[in-house]
Amino acid sequence: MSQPIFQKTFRRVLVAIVLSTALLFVAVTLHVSSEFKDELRSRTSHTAQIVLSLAAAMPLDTIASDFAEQPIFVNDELDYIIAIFQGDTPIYVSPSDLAIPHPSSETSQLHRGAHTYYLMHESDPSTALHVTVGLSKSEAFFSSIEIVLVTVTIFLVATLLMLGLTRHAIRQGLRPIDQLADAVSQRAPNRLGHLNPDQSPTELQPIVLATNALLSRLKDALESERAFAANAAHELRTPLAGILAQSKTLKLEDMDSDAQKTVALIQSSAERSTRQVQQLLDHAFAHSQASVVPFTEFNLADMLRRLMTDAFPSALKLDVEVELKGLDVFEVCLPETLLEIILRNLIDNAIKYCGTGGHVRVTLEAQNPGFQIKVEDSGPGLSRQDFEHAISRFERLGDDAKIYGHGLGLAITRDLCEHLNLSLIHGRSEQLGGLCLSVLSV
Amino acid sequence: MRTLLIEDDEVIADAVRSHFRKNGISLDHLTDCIDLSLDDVERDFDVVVLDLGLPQRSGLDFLKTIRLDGSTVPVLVFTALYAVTARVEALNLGADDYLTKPFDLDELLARCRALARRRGQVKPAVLTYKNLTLETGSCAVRKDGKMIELTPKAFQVLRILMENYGRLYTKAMIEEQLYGWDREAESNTVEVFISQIRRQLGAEYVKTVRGLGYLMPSPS
Repeated sequence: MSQPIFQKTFRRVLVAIVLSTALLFVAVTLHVSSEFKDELRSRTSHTAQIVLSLAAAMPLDTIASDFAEQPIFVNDELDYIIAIFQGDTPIYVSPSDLAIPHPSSETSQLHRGAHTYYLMHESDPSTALHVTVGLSKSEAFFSSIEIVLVTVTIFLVATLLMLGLTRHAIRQGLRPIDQLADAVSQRAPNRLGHLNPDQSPTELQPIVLATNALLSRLKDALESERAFAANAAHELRTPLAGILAQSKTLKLEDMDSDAQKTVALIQSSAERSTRQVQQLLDHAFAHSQASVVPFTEFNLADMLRRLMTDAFPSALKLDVEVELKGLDVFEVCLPETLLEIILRNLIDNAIKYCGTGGHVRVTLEAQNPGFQIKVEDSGPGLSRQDFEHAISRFERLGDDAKIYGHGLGLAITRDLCEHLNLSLIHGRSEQLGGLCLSVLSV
Repeated sequence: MRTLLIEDDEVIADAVRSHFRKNGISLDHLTDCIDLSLDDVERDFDVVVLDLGLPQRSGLDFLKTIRLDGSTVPVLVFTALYAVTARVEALNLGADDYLTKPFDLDELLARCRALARRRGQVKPAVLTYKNLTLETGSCAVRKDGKMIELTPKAFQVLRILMENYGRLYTKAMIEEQLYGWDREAESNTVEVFISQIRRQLGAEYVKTVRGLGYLMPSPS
C-alpha cells in the first residue's frame, strides 16, 4: 500500500528543511569565521597602534608601571598579550613569563598552552619603540560560534514555525480528500445515490464524477438482478400455482385410487418445485442483494411467530407438533429479510426432516449480549461430518424418497449467518433427541 | 360476500372461481385493473383479491391509488413475486392481507371471509364441526343437538376457529378479530375464552399450539 499523500509531502518538506538548515549552518559558520578573522586582524592592529602612540607619548621609565596591570586571565589563559620594546630591549611584556618575539621577527602567531595568539606589530622609528599585540584566536572562534548558534537557532525556530504552518496547510489542503473518502466509506450499502460534486473542490471533481458513474452502474446492475429475481419468481411460481390450485379443485372422491394417486403425485411434484424455486430465489437474493438490505428494528419473537404460522400447514400435513418457547418480545436491529430467510430455512428443514409425528421446538433466548435461537427436532439428527457436508451447496439431507429437498437451504443459511456475523452452531437436542441448530448473535 | 378477483392468469383464476363457487361465494374476475374505478370497487365488492404482477398496470399502483382516494375495501394481495421484498411493500401500501403463490385455496377462502367479516359483510350461516353446530345469526352452539351456553366473546372465538378449522390462529389474530386494531386486549383474554370453550365443550375440539396459538384440526 502506498504512503498517504500527507506523509509523503510532509516528509519531503522535512528533508528539504533539514538539508537547508545544515547548508545554512555551514555557510554562516564560514562567513562568520571569515568576518571574525578580518575583525581580529583589524582590532589587533588598532590596539597595537594605540599602545604605540601611548608608549611614544610617555616617558620610558613610566611605561612599565603604567602598563603594570596584567591582562585579564580567563581560565589561566590570556585574552590578549602586549609587549613593548625599546630597540631590541623589552621594556614591558605581559605576562612576564611569556617570551613574546621581537617585532622584527615578524612572527604572526604565538602559542601558549592550548591558546594561539594572533600577533600584530607596530613600530615608531622616531622613538625606536616597537609594540607587539596579540589577541587570542579562541575568543574570536567562540564569538563566531556564538553568533552562528544564535543565527541557526533563530532560523530553526522560524523553520519549525514554518513547518507547523506547512503541515497545517497540507492537512487543510487534503481535507476534501478525507471528506470524500468519508462520504463514500460511511455510506450505507443500500445508498447508491450520487455524491454531490458541488461539495468537492475542482481538483476532486473528476474523482467524484467517476465515483458517481460507478455508483450508477452498480445501481443498475443490482436493479436488474432484483428485477430478474422478481420476474423469474413470477414466471416460475405462476404455473406452479395454477397446477396446485387446479389440482385442489378436483373432486378426489369421484376418482378411482389410481387417479387419486396421480393427483397426489402431481401435487407433491408441484410442491417440491415450489420449494426449489423458493430456495433458488433465496440463493439469488442472498448473493446479489444481501449487502443492500437495510437494517431495521423489529421484534424477533413476532418474526418467529409469523414464520412458524406460515410453516404450520406443512407441519400439520406431516403431523409434526410445533412449539415456540422463550421470549415474547425481543427487539433487534438487523436486515429483516435476510434473517427471515435464515430462520425460514431452519424451521422448514426441521419440520421436513424430523419425520411424520415428530416434534419441532423453536426457542428464543436473550444472551448477554444478543440472542440465541434454537431450532430443535425429534428427527434422526445429523452428525458433525454430515452437517459440514450438508452446508455445501446442493447436498440433500435425507435419502428418504418422500422427503424432497436439495440442501441449498442450509448453504444459504450458513452464508447469510456469516454475512450478518451470526454463529450457526450444530448440536444434538437434549430433550427431543434430534438435530439442534442454534443461531447466535455475536 | 362478493369478491373481486383481479388476476391475469386464467388457470389460477379458474381454480379460485371454482373453489369459491363451490363454497357458495360469488366471485367476479378481471384480468386487469386498468379501467377499474374506485366507485365500482367500493359499491360492488366486500373483498378484493389482487394479484400484484398484472401486465398493464401494477397491482401495487392500483392499491396505492384506491387507498389514496380513501377506499377502505379490504384487499388481499397475492403475488408470485419474491416474497421477502414484496410483502412489506404491499402491507405498507395498505393491503389487509398477503399470500404468496402458490397458495392453498382453503387458506385464501378463509382469509377472504375474515376480511369480509371485519367489514361486517358475511351473512348468517350455520357452521358444522364434528358433532358441533354453530349458528352465526342467533349465536347458538349445539353439541349433539344440545344447546351449549357460551359468553358472547367465547362464542366469537369458537366461530373464528370453526370457520377456519385446520388453520392456526395466533392470539394476535383472534384478538384483532375480537377487538379490532385499536383496542388492546388483556394479555390472557384469549386464554380465558379458550378455557371457557373447553369447559363447556370438552378439551378435544380446540388444540393449543404452544407459543403460537390455537386451531381446530381438520375432522379428516
